[in-house]
Amino acid sequence: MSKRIGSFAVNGKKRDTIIEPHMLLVDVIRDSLGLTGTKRACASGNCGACTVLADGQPVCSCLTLAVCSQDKALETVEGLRAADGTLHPLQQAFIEHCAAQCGYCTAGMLMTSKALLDANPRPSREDVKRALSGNICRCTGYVKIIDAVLDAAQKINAAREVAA
Amino acid sequence: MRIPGLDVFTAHPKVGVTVGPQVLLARLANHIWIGKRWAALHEAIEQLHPPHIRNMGTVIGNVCAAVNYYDIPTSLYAHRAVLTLSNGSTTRKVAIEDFYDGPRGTAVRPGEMVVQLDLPPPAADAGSAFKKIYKARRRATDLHKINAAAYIALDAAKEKIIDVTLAIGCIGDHPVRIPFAEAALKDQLATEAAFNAAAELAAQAIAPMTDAAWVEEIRTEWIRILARDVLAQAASRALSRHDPAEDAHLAY
Repeated sequence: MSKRIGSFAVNGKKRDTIIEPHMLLVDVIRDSLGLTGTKRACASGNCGACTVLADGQPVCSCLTLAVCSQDKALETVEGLRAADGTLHPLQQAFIEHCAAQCGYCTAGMLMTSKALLDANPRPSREDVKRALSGNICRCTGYVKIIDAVLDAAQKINAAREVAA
Repeated sequence: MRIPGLDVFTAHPKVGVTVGPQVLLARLANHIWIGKRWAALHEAIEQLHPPHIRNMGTVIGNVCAAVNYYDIPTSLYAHRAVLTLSNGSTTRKVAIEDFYDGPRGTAVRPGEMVVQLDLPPPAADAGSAFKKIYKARRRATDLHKINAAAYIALDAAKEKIIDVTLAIGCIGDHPVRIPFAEAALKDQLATEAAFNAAAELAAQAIAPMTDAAWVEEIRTEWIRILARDVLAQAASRALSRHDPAEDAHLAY
């Protein structure tokens, strides 16, 4: 199969790299674009550690072909932090609640939670559980993670109300 | 990346649904006519919890995987889906009941692929429903689950059942329709007693797979309950179906 130049819109920046038709999005993001925050774990869509947002929707980058993702606005965990280095409220809440132990699943958890909070700013505990049902954590259990997402939702809403 | 011809998706209550192999589940779930007239399919998609899978999985992929605990095929049995298989030169149509064959086996021959899935339009006064029961998290070879889907069409007076489909899944190699129960319901009044009797027939007709955690008596009881509930809900949806002229403005 032929190599070609693939252009990706990752975290708002346009990035070109050489890809082959069989390459997975997670490999391109990690190896070609150097954004190693996205983790490759099960590579079969069970664990969700490789979750990135494509046009705002969470997808498993380990099951997505890179060639199919060129027309989509991709967002990885590196894009969560603001340009001045301020952490996203979700990241801050994960730190405050100790919602990561080994941290391997955290990138996926953050991206799925971001998609949830973008669509539903006031999620219930059940909504969070449902949204994160595709992300598996083997260290901490899920209580702290769900607490962190709910806390981040509150903080984002509070900041929005102050601004308004 | 969309391949012309493989990303076809149209849904209209008078024409039916046409789905190509590239169409994602999320795209169907967001379509207004799927929610209004193909409610069983809509419910099956809505209850797929990991959002990743909804955003990545395709309808035809879900059917062709031929995994016995998947939900979408059961709802498609209720809607009487027809699959179009092509090997590039010849095409043939296969009803979904004839598509599955043995454990993880399908009617797809070497060199063939499923290029289209069609759902016929529902009758004027028809409703459908899908329900499932989990006992545990989904995992490979999980038996702790049963799903059921039904489609019911009522006559113009909205009293008698003129057409019915009842499908139960996760009980064997593939979902099954229950012809005895369907025959018993046909031309009957849509009453709770009729649904109870049909559900009893369904529970008797199926010898479900069992495991240590879920013995046959429990699974059979769940089959009866789910069959009764999907039939009742499909009938209530058929009854509450309002004048088609009211939503004519939604048609394209």
